[in-house]
Amino acid sequence: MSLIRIEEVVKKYQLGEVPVLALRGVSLTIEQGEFFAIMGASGSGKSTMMNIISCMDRPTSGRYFLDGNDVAGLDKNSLAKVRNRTIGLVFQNFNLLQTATALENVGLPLLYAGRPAKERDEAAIKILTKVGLGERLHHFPTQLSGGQQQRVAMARALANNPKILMADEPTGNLDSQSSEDIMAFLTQLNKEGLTIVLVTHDNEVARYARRVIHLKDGQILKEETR
Amino acid sequence: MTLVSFFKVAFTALARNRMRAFLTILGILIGVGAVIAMVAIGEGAKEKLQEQFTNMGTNILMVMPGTVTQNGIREYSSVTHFYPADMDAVKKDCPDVAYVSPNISSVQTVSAQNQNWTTQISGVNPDFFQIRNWGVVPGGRAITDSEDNSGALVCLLGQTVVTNLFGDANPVGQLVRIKHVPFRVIGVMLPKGDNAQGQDQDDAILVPYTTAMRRLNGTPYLRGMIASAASEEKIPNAETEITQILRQRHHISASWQQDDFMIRSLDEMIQAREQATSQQMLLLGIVAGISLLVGGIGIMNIMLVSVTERTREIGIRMAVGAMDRDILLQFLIEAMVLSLAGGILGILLGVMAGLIVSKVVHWNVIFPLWSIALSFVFSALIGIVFGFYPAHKASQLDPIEALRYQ
Repeated sequence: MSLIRIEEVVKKYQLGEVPVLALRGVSLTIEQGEFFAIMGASGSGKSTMMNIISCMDRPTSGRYFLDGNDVAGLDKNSLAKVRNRTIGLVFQNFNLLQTATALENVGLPLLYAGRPAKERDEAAIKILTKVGLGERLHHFPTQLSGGQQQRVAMARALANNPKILMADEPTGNLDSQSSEDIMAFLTQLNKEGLTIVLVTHDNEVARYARRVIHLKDGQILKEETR
Repeated sequence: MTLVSFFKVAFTALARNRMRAFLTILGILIGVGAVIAMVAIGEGAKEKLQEQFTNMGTNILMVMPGTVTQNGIREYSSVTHFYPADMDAVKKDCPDVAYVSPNISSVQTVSAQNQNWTTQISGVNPDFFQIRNWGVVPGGRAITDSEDNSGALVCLLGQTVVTNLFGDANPVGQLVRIKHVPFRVIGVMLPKGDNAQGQDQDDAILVPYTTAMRRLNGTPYLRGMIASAASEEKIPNAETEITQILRQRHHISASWQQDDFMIRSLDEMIQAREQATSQQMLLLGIVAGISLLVGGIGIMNIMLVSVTERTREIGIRMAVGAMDRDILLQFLIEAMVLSLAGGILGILLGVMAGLIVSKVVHWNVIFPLWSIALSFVFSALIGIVFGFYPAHKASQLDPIEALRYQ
């Protein structure tokens, strides 16, 4: 059974009087353990697709099976639960709580999973150590470099042991060295069995993935396997 | 477990901007403080009043000349006169009346040795001392019936009069001159203190009422009577009996004719006072309600601002799995912590203010538990009620759009 299976997914927005079709019936499957990348120019629908796959948004029509469950028709709160348990999200601009320490940021998904404070802290320490930030547990994002912040974000994404890690332009705001470090880390995680889905416009980044699809005008243009 | 974490998150969020939090709760703080202080002062005044009423005597009925105006309002009238015979009749023929004493007095300047003092001279009979629960300092005695009947020139002095005419010396047996007539002092009254109107009851001289009528007031009639009922339950009966006797004696026979006198029981006065007090309390409650309302609106305002400022933060929390109710709860708790802080600080402020006022007016202030408990509960409620709309707004944000917010 595929981990992710979407069928004829359409996403329509209403911009005033004009309806916009961001996705025009896209279908694909992603298997467990894959390193998958979605590429496309601005306006190709790649962000929209990412939003739907990561359960931040719902399709206008079509089906989406995540780990065997039909998630296309779930309500806002149920989607939140799915995100909390199954998907780890990493963003281009890190999206860390500026007023919380690295430790508190990483513990956030665990807070909403209902874990007590002690458990949260222990898990967060373990993961932060794994990403190499064991010395900076109580630092605030403003005290960390871009690369370090993204590592905190990744630690947060991994905090609840998700099945999939989804990253939207994870290296977009990083220098080349940090970008390499991040991508190397993703590769390592993938080797350990984590499914990775990436959205990027950068070929260099897409090279790390084993399967890449190209989107244009809301449809899959082509697919390549490395 | 998570609830405790939410409280911690709320405290951290509020502590980040202490000045803003303080200014927000100022409305509730002052409102609660004012109410706590005013209730305490009011309760203290009520207690003091109660003391003073008890001080005056129990089961008292005051009989005064009176009439009914066109509007049906009873009021004092100087036309009616009471005679000593009226008083005797009441005493004799009203079974539920225990004691009756006349009401007759005048203000005179009295002198003793080489001191002067202006004070009120009241004409009384032996029943007076029972009715008023007012005793004589040992070494002296009260007025007797025979002295009453004979218009004897004897008097009893209140403590204030003694101090001003005799200093520390014992005045019993001495002479004082009232209207150039020498009176022998037969006793000194025990201290009584101030009455409900704030007048010094110890600033008085008591003489036999016949003496007052003949020598001091120059009238054959009394200004009224004070009676005390046999017991608290008998007060209405006593009132009826006195009314009957006086109507008879004043030749008011037809049932449609109004009394030419009024009977007021102290209990009535206490009840009237209590009614006024409850009206005051109602007013206080309204003022408190308004100030809490205003405070609540302040909280709602600031929470709305806070939600807007933290739109991205809300988006991040939602992205990692926060549900509507997690966000709702977080902001609701923040609002409640704010309002509770205002309430608690307000209670402290009110207690301090009440204690300060107590020092100034020289009576106790009482902080009833209900006022503190109610303030606490209402402060919390205000936070929940006025925090709900901003919290709800926060929970309804779309995560994708919230994350895009700059």
